[in-house]
Amino acid sequence: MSKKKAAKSGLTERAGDFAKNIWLAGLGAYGEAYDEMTNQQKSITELPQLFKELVEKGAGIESSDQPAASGKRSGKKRSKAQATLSAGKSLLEGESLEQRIRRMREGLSLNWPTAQPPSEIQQLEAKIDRLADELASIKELLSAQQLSSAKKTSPRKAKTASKAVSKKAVQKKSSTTKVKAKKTAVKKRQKPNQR
Amino acid sequence: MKTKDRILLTSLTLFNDEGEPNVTTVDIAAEMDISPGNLYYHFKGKEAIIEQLYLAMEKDLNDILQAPLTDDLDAENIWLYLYVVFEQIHKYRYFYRNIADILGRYSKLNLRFAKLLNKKRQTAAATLGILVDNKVIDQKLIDSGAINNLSDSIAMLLTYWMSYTEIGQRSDINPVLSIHRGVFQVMSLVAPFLQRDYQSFYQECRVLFEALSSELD
Repeated sequence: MSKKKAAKSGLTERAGDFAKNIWLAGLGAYGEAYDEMTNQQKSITELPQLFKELVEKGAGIESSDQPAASGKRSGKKRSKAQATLSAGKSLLEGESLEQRIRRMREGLSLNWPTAQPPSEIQQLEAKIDRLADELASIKELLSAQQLSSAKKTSPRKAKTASKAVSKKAVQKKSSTTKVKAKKTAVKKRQKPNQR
Repeated sequence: MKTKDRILLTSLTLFNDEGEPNVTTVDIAAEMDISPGNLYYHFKGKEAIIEQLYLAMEKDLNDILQAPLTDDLDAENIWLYLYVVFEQIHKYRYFYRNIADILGRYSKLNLRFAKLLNKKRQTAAATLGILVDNKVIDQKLIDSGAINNLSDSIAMLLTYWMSYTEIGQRSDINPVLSIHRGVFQVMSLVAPFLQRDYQSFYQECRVLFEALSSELD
């Protein structure tokens, strides 16, 4: 019987008779409760207190006396219960909850971009790079070619834009608006090219 | 950080802390130590800020909801996943607290949110489906009708949990606890359908939640 076997184990010597009895009672209760739980699926509300105790008890037994726990009736059932608890289904054991939450958080934000096929992203990136290069060279070309024509158009624009301002300001402003006008001229010409 | 982003962040904090209707653009500018004119340069009024914040929330939540569901989904992952979802909801709690009012005022957002809500439902249903396949949920206890029903309940819970729990509650409640409450509530919805092997998982959730409640409250 399990009582005899447990009595022989090293646990008894360490903790004495009193502790042994408590341990045995716990083990017995564990087996009893587990039978009850598996045989007739009880209503959920009745279980938690019991289960809480059992989990604590199980953890205590596991750390204090490994071989004794694996003997006989209740031991076998416990190992099954243990397997269930530790197979990635346990919140209370293993790594800290904060760590696991952080990993899930990271996983979600990291997973998301890779959810699309990476090749597709690479293709798109390559395309963007090519377009950016093309755009840069076109810009250069245009700014060199259109410098003179931009100069022709800019004074008129600058005048209309700064009519209300005093003459000194006009002179200052016209130089800045010239640059702006140049840019818009370049942009205007670029657009049809891009298409 | 750019001024525009700082405005959004400050607005979010103020909305969450003081309630969106009580915060004006002047308040936001004052909190940031910038002139209302500067703020106006970036956002033409509160409506524009709320719209931007809504879009940010939508993106955050969409990213999470569309994240690929792995096949080896188990109970623990679901718990962690729910935690992250509730964390997001908590981040934008001003919106969820005041959802009917805000959507009523900003009709543009109404349609968008309807879509988001639909996505919540779909993700819930897809997740439940995988859990059935993985035998975490007992297929004898659930059918497609029940899955739809349960998905509806979960989507509703995700959406209205904030306003529900904050009725008559102290304002200084620990945010982590309020997130845990939501997670536990969803787990409780699913619990009756769990396979026998996973009943113990729900008990763990319960133990954890009780422990956290007494610790954090």
